[in-house]
Amino acid sequence: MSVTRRDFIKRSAALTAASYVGMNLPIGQHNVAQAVDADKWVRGTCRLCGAGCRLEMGVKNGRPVALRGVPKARTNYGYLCMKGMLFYKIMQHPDRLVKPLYREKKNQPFREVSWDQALDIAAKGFADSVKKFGSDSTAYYGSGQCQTEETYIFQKVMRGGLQTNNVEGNPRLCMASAVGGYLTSFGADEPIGGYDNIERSYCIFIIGSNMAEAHPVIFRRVMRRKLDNPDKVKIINADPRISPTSRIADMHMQFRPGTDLALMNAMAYVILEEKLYNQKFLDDYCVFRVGKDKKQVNMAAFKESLEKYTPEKAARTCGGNITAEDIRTAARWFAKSQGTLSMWCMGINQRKQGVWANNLIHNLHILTGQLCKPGADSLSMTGQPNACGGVREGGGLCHILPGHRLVKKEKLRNQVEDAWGIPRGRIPPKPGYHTMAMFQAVNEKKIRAIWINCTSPAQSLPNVTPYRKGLQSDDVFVVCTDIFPTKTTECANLILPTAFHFEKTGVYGCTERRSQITPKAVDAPGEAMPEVWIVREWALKLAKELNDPVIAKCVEPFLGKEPDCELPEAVWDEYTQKVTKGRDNDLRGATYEVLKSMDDGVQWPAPTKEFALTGGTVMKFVRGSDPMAETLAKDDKPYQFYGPAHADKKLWVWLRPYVGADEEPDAEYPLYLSTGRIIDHWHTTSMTGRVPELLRANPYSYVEINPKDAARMGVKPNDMVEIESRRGRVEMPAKVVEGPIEGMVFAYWHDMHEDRMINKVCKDAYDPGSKEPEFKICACRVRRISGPRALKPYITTLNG
Amino acid sequence: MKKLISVLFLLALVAGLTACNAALNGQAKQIVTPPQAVLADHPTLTEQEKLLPCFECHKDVTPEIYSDWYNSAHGIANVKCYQCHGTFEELTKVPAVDSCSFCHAAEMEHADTTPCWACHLTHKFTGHQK
Repeated sequence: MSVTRRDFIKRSAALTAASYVGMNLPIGQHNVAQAVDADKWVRGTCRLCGAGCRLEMGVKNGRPVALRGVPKARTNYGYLCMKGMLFYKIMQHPDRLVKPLYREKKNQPFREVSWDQALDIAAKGFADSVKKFGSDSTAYYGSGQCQTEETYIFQKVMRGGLQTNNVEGNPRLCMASAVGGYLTSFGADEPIGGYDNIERSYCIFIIGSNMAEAHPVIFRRVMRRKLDNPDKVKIINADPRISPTSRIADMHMQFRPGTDLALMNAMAYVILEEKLYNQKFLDDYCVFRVGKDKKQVNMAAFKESLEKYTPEKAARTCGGNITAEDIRTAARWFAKSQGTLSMWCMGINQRKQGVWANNLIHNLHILTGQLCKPGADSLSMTGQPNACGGVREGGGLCHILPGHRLVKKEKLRNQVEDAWGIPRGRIPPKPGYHTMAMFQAVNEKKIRAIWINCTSPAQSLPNVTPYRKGLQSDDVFVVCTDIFPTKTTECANLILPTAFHFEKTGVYGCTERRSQITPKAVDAPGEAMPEVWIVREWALKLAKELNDPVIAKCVEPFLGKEPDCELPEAVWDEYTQKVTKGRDNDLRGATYEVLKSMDDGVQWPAPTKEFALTGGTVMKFVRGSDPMAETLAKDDKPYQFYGPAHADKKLWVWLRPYVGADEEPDAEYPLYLSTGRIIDHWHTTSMTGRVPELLRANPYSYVEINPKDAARMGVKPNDMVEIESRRGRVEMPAKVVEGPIEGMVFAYWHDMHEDRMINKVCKDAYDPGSKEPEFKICACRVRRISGPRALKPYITTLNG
Repeated sequence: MKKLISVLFLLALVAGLTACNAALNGQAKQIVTPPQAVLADHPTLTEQEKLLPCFECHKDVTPEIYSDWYNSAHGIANVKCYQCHGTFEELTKVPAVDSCSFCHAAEMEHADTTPCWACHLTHKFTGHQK
């Protein structure tokens, strides 16, 4: 062999474990041959990213044994990534939480309690907080991985029952800026089109997204489009880092972190300078606006605002790796193609200027009329499987009610109160704490009882250390509902074991407005229960504790329902039939019966069953595709932008100046730090870290360093380096690679080991509009601390 | 030495192909072939060494295979070694054809009883080799 044993050991030194103490790595007992011998295949949706891949779970003797893609599904056409193929392996994992666990003080060991005791404890904990400190001392923090029914029933009990809008979720950390961008540019949240445009596009502009790893199956479609049409289709990849996504790009525009606002303004400059805009589209559908007061201006003012973004100036601002001609070429490809599709993700959203960055992408589409036609769309990719369906649509953020309604509008609150049959005025008019404010309020003991569902903020928050201290305080009663121990369950008083995907029934809504059902296929282990049951039972006890019948009224329609199927269906029916009626996400046609009959679910709006059975609305706002474009039409034009946020029913082109990151490098901290996902892992690895194949594929975080920076710092491949910011420090192996732009390092964020948890280093500054934190940029310094070192992969256990 | 390894690999692959039987089952054609036993000729790895991605060694040990994969649609789309060949405890030189069906159920409709790689170039999977 050309690799000797000695070479092999040397190469693996930096990536090897000293021991497996504390690790649990059961190897799958179900190989391929057993898998295809399944007793039945149950069709559902992938549990992991926001792509919404449809898959089937193979079940044998009541146990999950395999997953395979659904070829007819219009999301993935049968393809799955490794996470989608393998997540069934965690369902029988010995680390599953199977009994309610409680401890009064957080330095005590957990003890098992019955469900009745657990729900009493949860009810008393929240009731005591309300009695002593008021309703706003309680909070719910959910997830874009909860099913819609779960988010909906939780927020209903919190708002209508406990009378607080302290309802948040981790989508605030990943896509709030996309929401802000869609609302302010198009007047309505969520994309106009969807994946259907990939195969019709001739120019694909991928910015701030390493979709090859974060959304691999959607990337496959983009890759296929390019490989099948190498000369006809242009791919532009704009990112400070060359990533696996860049492999299919005709042009990679590598800009200095945070300067993409200048880059996109420069593209707009070229579009105006070379008259590449679509004048008729602008005349028919658009206005120009500026400032907080949304002042309307004309196109000349817009043009004047771009004068400082000539391609030459922008190329310099962007760091010198892009030429002015690159910018001109990109603008021409974008404007002139038969259909241009933009796709982006956290590189745009997780920014202090996240909403503005979104606006500037939309600007390019509005100016060129690259919307509402085949292949043309401005498509924000979603990170989580139900951030759109559950949290954005189901009322999972502090300022929105279900059905895209703003909390602050009395008329909209009253609509929801009437639908729920509770007294008007019951939902408070003031929005609750947004995510970063919520955990700051925990630190400040303004929140005394918090329910954290299906997420791990003790690892996933930026600048996580001070927020962990708050959660660890005995002054705050913390309830966690989850399937595995996490860094957050380490801060809990009460852990409630929940049923996992395919162990209960519910709906996920993915990136492209598509709702898809996943039915129960196997029993949950031990005493794990679906969240909808947990909330119903908790609310009944809470009503007694607080002597408040309105709390009980919130769950009254769901009493007596069997928890696995009947109960979620009753919740879904109330939400869709009563609450989405007439809203832009009208889902009345997407009943469980309809969703179960579909290979791939329904795209809203879908007001009737007949329409839902066609698959729903492929292109929003377009007559002939979107039924609401007919019913809400204000004239005879083919496109009707009826979104609730724009009274003028126009698309808005925004004048947005370039503003840099909240924390730029300086003499003390001379490098940019950015972070991101790796293909084999999902979020905090509480799930994927328990699949041996996935853990082994990337057992640790590492940091990518540009070779020029590495040479200056004396760092060689696999050396251990320290990454330090004003907030914290971590250490991990270095990968010296032509990935990040010179002056920037890039670290993977999945690792939950205390020494390598990169969110200790990130900054918690946030966008003033969307309140989404700037995970993607902060200043740091890096120094070599040793040569390659044996490391230990780490997944937390119940006792940490 | 590299050529010898490649030749051995190809011989093993051919042997694997001749062992394939076909059957239909459910949604797609699924060729039920028990995967080969765990590779006897692979160096024994410690638990620590198993944390290294396959390609870290195989780009040197089997560079042609690595290159074919890296430049294929599988390589560009990050379909990794373990997704077809399994992880160490279940490692197979010639995967069970069933494993293709997890993503390629529709494509396997035209496969009749023939394994995919009998026609599509192994690791490249572009076009047909005959």
